[in-house]
Parts: sequence; C-alpha cells; structure tokens
Amino acid sequence: MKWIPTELHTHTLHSDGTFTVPELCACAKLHGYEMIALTDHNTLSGLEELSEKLARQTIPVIHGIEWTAYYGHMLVIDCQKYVDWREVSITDMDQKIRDVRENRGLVGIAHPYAIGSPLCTGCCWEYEVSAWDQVNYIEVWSGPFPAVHRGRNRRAEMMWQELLDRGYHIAATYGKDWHADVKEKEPWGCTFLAVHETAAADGVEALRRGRTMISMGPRPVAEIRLNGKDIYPGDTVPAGSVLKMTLGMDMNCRRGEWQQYDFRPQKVQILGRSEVVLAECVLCENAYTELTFTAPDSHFRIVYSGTVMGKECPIAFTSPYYAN
Amino acid sequence: MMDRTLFQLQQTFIGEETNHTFFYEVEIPAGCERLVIDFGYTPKRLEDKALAAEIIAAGVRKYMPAPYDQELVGYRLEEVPVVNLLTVSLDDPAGTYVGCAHRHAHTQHHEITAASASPGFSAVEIRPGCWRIGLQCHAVVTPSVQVNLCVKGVFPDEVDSN
Repeated sequence: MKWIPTELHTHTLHSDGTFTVPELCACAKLHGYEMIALTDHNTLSGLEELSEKLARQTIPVIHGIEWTAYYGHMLVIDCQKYVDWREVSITDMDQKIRDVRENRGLVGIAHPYAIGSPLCTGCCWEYEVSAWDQVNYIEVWSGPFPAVHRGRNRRAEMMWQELLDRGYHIAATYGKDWHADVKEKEPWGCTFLAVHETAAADGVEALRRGRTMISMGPRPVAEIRLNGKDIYPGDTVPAGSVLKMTLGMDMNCRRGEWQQYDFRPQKVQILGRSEVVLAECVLCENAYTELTFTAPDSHFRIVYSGTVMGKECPIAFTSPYYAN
Repeated sequence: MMDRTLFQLQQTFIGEETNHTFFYEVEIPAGCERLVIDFGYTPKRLEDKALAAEIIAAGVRKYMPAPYDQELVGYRLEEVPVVNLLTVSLDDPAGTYVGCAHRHAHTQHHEITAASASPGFSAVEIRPGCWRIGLQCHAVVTPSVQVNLCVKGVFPDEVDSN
C-alpha cells in the first residue's frame, strides 16, 4: 500500500471551471497530484472526455459530480446510475443519499460551512440529514490555508468530530474546489489516499474504506502495526490493542508545492472522543518517532502540528481509526 | 429559416422562486438532428448597493457568525457581487439526464446532437418525444428577473450545406 496525493473536488468548462478536461489533468500532474476526481457541477459530460490514453499521459481520474443543490453541495463519486437531486427538498435528502449508496456511489459533503446563498448558492450544508451512516466523507478542510482560515474549517471539524463521537464512521477529505490554475499566496491542502495501484478504482476503494489523510504541506506518516499487520485509517481494531506506531512527516512529497511556506512540524497528537488528547509526542523534521499506543474503546485520529509561515497551527491529520 | 422554434418561454421570476426547479416539456418531432437552446436572464447583478450590502451582511451573520467571522477580516466584502443565478438542465424522452450548464454567464447558447454537445451536456440522439427542460432558480436577488428560453430544432432538409 502506498499513499498518493490527490485532489477530489475539481471543475472544468463543463460547469464553471476554466480548464478543459485535458488541461485539468495535465495541470494536476504538474502540481504533483497522482489522481483527481472530476466533480463538475450538476453534470457528468466532462467524464466523456476521459480516456486510457489521457490517463497514461497525465493521471487517473475518479468519476464524480458535485450536486450543486439549493441547500448544500454533495459530492457523488463513482455512482453507477445518475441520481437526480433537482426536486429534493431540504428535508428529504436522506432518500437521495440512500439512492446513491444503493447504486454503489460514495457520498461526500462538500465545504459544509462555506458561506451560503445567495452569496455562494447552496454552498453551506443545510439539508436535514439523519442517514449519516450512509455518508462516506466530509470535506473537513477546504479552501486556502485551511488551518488558519478557521471560520469554515473549524466548524467543519467540530461537525465531523460530533458525528464521530456519535459513532458514525466518516472519513475526512480536503477540497481545493479547483476551478482555475491561479497563482497561490498561501498553502492549500491535499488529500492522500492509500492505494495498492495508482488507478481510479483503487482511489475509490480508499475513499470507501476511509483510508485518507489530509495535509497543507508535507505528507503525514502514520505506520501502525498490530500483531504484524498494517493498520490504516478507516480500520477497526479491538479496544485495548497495543499499537506500534511510527509517526512523522515526509518532507519530500510534493515539496515544490509547499516549501515556500516554511513548514516546521513540531508535534503529533492522538485525539479521541471530544478531541481529548490521548497521546502526544515531539516531531522531528528528519526523523520519525516511535510510539506505543493503547487503542481506546472508540475512534481516534492523529493530528500533526507545527508552524507554517510563522503561525502555529495544525498541519495535517488522519481520518479516524476505530476501536470497539 | 434553418430551424424551427419548438419552445419559447418569456417569464418573470421573483425572489420567492429561489431554490426551486421549474420543469417545461418540449415536444420534439421526428427527424430533428440538432437541438439549439438559447437561454438568458436579466439583470445579472443587483446594482442597488445598499440592498447588496444588506444581503452580504445578512449572509455573514447567518453563515459566519462571530467568532468565525475573523476569517473574513481583510476581505473587501463590499466588492462581493450579489447576483442572480439561474441554470438550465435537460432530460431526453426516456428520462435520461442529458446535462446542465451550471455557470454564471447570463446569456448562454447550447447545441446538442448525437455526435457532439456544448459543455455540460452529453451528445445524445435527438429522439422524437417529450423532452424536459429544467430551470434551476439558484438565486433571484433582484426584485425580479426576466428569463428568455428558446429551444429550436434543426432538421435534415433544413441544414445549410454551407
């Protein structure tokens, strides 16, 4: 298994992006992504431009669409049938979510605390959902410098944490919501997926299993073993298991994309229910840290912190590991 | 004329119609090879600066209350355009979703044939029967907005050889 950098929220000329499909793929490769999901607003037509040849020349693309609905934007990934949102009301999204899942699609909530209508139509998630067990992931971080621009991102973190504390298994992703290749002045983010092969089907499977990590810069490293077996985010281990962890940050992955922002990783924390710190250790830039950790009776996730552009902030985090 | 008008809508929408989809049926006769959709609405932007400022302030209060509004420090909120957003989508007679042009341009021209289609729409056979156009009212921020929607069909004996 390997971790690959991806962007799972992109747009082209098929909706309101500025890229053609080949331009998006080429630009993504240029920026060090090894896979993207194409999620144009309310259309699948861009997917018709994808080909094996384009994937070989650039990178694989996961099929998706962003339901740009009236009370929220929902990312639908790899659904085997088109499911229509146009007549859904604020109270009956549950059935649509189930329809997507029944057709093998994945459901992700996009930028749930972005400013909403009419300034950004439907961008804030306001649908009443009870089927959270059917939601695969939430864009916990989105937009530029997500650890510092805390308005939308901190609230999304709290929403996610509350759902995890209620027992739901929901992965985290980052969403650049990429519409154009503009010169950036702040670090953005990246979702890392754990895959066997750099193929779209493996990317979908990683997302389905919750094997994701998010970072604004260096790739988080969390090698966890239990009885000789590798454990990944999204996996469930018995409560009380003694886990051997190797933690750190890979300072070479996509370095050209973030090195100008002066990332200095300093510590790693393992957070449990209610964000309680279960363990903590110092991070070194050029060496990994070994930690023995006893799994609690609930979920836990790993958060990497330090300074970025001189600001103290979280840098990266994993999706949850679960224990029962 | 090269083409035949099959559907025309000139209608005013108001704020209460925001967040609703309106569907219109368009009967397409046999022999049609190309659908041409011209869609437009006006105005695009709310020019009343005082009202725009009120809408922006209300949006911030609702969606980014203190202390989360710190994220907005430094942003020139008064320059955020407050705009109408309406989009069109299309289904064929079998109920298959053909696509949508979700973008901000308030004047749009789309063509759909079996071989090619404008961005946002799939290339599909133009089957005879009842097609359905969806008009998604994402935002009507002006007192009203005038919508013009026209669907034309192009038929083989009318295609210009030039």
